[in-house]
Amino acid sequence: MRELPSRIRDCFFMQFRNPSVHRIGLLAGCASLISAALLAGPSAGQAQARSQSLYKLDTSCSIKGGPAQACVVEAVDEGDATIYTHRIGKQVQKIRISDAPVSMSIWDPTSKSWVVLKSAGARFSTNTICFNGRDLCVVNPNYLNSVREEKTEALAGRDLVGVKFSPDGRVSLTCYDEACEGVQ
Amino acid sequence: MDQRTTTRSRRLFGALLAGLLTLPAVPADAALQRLEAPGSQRDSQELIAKGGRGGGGGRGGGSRGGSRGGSSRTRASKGASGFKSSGSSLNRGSSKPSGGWTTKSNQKGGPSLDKRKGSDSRQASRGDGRRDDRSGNRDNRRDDRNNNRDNRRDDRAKNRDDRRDDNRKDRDRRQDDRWDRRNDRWDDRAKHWDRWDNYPGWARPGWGYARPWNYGWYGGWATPGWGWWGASAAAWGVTTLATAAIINAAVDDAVDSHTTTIVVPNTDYRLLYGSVEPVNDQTVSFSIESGDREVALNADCKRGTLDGRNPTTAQEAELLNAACQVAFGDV
Repeated sequence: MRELPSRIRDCFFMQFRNPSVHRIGLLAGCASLISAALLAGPSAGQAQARSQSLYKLDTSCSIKGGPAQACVVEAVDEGDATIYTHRIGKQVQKIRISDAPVSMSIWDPTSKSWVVLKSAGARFSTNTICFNGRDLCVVNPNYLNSVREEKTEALAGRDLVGVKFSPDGRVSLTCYDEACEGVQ
Repeated sequence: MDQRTTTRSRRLFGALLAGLLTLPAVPADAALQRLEAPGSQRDSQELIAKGGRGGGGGRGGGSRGGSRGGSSRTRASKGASGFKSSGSSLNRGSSKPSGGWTTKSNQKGGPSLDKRKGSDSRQASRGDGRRDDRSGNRDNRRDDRNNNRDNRRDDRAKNRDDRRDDNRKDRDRRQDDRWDRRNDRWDDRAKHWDRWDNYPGWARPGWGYARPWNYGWYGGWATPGWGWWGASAAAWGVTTLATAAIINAAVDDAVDSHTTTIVVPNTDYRLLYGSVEPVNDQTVSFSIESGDREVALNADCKRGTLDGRNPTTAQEAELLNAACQVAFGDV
């Protein structure tokens, strides 16, 4: 729990101690301090403290439909999102997936920012999830097991699931099995 | 005092009446159904939500439908509306599956969004096709029964009234028996659906690679056989156990058709394959169905023991073999 700045505590305390002070001015001052504290957000150290490695997986990946290559996936829970770091040889590709609503983005090292994905697809029978068409595909039974157990009803009897995202990152289309065949 | 009580009662009654009048109109029959047979109404909602899985429900009557609905009630409450679970079916994947996280994937062939070879034909022939056949046969049988019944009815019309009454009673009893049997089957199926829903995430197409544990004693299982097998096999006069391919295919079949058990080859045992879970790198716990009961067992795949003792029959050895294959076998 983050400590409030001592000046904020003083503000409230002062109000009780001396009711004759100019409350409007005090309230405005306190409000600005509180909002400044909230806007500042967690410090870098605190954000790191919340990160939690879920697993490291030795598996195989493919890039742009190329051959399968050995890769290591590390999944890290970072509060409101899970970051999947794929290390394929010397390449590193990071995917960020957040929930409610689900959104996916890929780390662009050039712009140093997260770029919204256009699509993702998963096939349960091969434990594969692909991002942006087949730009990056990975065998990740952990991810698919987790999804399968959380979405029992929606995924009952399904094998292929496809998702498209609109430019603002929101899901614009979800398809299953045969319906995904017509989706580009 | 009495007058005050009476006045208060009248006010209360008035308020209740006013409240009732302001409620949105509810069809009288719907309200009655809700009051009289909550189970049956829930069933009809379930049938709609599930695409009318219970053919013949209108004939079955309230109590019969109710008995089936009981076990699948949780399913309906989770998503009676087709839109409730229609959001994105992917999520961030951060919740640990019941089988835990795996650290190594042994998937052959690398990542692919393409269908497994042969999965389509297998699914069609083993799942929906068979189901269609069953439906077709059932319809045919029903038609035959209707025809036979009509014929018998014509014959009976020539006979005396008392005999007709007797026959009708017999027929009703036979029909009731048939409905009871059918509803027993629905009960079983509903129970299996619930069990299927509770299976861990790995028990799905691709189960062999989805098993979240990547350890265990594989024992050079295929050739030669389990180390414990030789001497006992000679004593039982059985030379081979079911192969990995047969057991794997049985699980594939069961997964494709959402069946919760596999019949262990050459036995009467039904293994709840989704219950298979390693205890350590050579022991596995699992359950089998025995009549209406589930029996929990464990097997030591390396030592070849079932619940701590050597198998006493070839059937027990097959069960041990199957459980170990599902847990630790190659796919």
